[in-house]
Amino acid sequence: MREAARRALCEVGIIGDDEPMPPSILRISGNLTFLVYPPGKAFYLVKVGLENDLAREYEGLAVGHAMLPQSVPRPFKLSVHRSLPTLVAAGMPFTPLGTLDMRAPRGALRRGLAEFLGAAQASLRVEPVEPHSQRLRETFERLPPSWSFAARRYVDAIATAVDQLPAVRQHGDFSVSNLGLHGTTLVVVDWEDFGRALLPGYDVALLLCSLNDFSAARIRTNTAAGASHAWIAQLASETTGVSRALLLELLPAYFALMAAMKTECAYGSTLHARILDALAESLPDAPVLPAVES
Amino acid sequence: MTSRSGTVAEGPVDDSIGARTRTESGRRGLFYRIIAANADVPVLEFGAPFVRQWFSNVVSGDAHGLASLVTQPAAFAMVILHQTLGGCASVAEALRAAALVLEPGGTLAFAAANRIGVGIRPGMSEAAPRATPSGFRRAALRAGFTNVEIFVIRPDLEVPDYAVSTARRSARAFFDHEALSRQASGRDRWLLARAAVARLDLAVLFEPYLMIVAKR
Repeated sequence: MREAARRALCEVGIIGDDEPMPPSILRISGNLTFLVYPPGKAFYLVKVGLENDLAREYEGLAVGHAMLPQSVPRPFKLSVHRSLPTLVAAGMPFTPLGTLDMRAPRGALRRGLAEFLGAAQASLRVEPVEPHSQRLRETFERLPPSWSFAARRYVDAIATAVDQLPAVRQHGDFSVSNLGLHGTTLVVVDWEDFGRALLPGYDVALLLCSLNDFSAARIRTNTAAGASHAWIAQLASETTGVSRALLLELLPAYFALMAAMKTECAYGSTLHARILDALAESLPDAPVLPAVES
Repeated sequence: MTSRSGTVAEGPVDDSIGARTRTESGRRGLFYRIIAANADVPVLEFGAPFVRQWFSNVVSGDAHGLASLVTQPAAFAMVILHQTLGGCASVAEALRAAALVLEPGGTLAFAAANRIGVGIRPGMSEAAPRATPSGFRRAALRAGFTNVEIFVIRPDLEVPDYAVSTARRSARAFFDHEALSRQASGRDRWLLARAAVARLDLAVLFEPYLMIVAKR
């Protein structure tokens, strides 16, 4: 597997065919992620796909880099080595962001987030294959049967509003841990889930979830006027057209999409259970004790 | 020696790899498979019977230990010493014996403890062989190994999430990033100390778990 990563680096000319794998940081989580540090200043990312073919991530990086080159790493090549999919991209240094940054954002962070969300809304729009409400119905149907009554009523109630929204490919894992600042530029990494959600506001909802422990109540409280995350809701409203009121109304829809995506991507049963708890908390008439099926 | 067993398929559409990595038990031994040339290489393991889920041709070391095998022809492409010296009396002896049973170009993978790191963090593994990172490197070179790489392993040697090369650039990048992440989250009482240690390239010394990977 490491040899597949080394060969991928050889293929794009970063190292010679007879050179060993340069020093690296390896993250073992689903797919393998190598941050590779050859002699010199640049560093590179090499992914080896154990869970998927990495095509979605490659497309996300390509589209994202074309949209905002300073914010999204440049992908070099998607290939197959030793029967394993490999993806090589430029490394992009950044200072990680955390909950403190998001409570008192620097101007650069505010501007960077606005720029990213605005560019994504404009550049990543696609022709919808099916109405959002239809996709949501299908998503809710994958939940345990005890949810079906509440889900049907909920989707019926939001169908008109949600079907008026455009289809916009979302980053898909827009959590605070995948964001950083390089100088005054927002950096967005980890595009594995690119385009799996098309409902505007999904990325913002996931960002707020990552900052509020997947609690609908905390998101509601912390996005109220004057609260610590009000600026995020405001930015979302200005750039994506999803007002805070609509964002809160759509939280159950976002949670249902997250539950479907995070399970499929095998993000782990703990996260999946937390998302279902959040869905139960936010969905009107939801069953009190949902049966968790992953 | 004991049995050979298990088969592991591999391929881009083989979901068995991805499925296995989703559980902790499934991921045990994955690091060894990552650094191996392929799943079919002959492997001699001490202390890591679980690698059978990743390799098809595994020989487990027996009570006589690594030293008893050195009179046989070098037959293994990989020797795994997982928190054990394989019955040898010292790190140096274990590495010399491992070199003798490895075929030319074969790989040693030695999961061990950092003497400084485990000393600072009481409660860490008592059984694992111990030396400093530089001590392991010297011993490996003296035993005839080349391309000696040392990795810091997080969170532990059983189911690693991270393997960080102790080479300066990669180690500094990792520990700098970690210090900044903790700072951003406001969850570090030792913020300044942690940042200084990372900046001075000393962080590796405080890590308890190491993996030594070397070529014969």
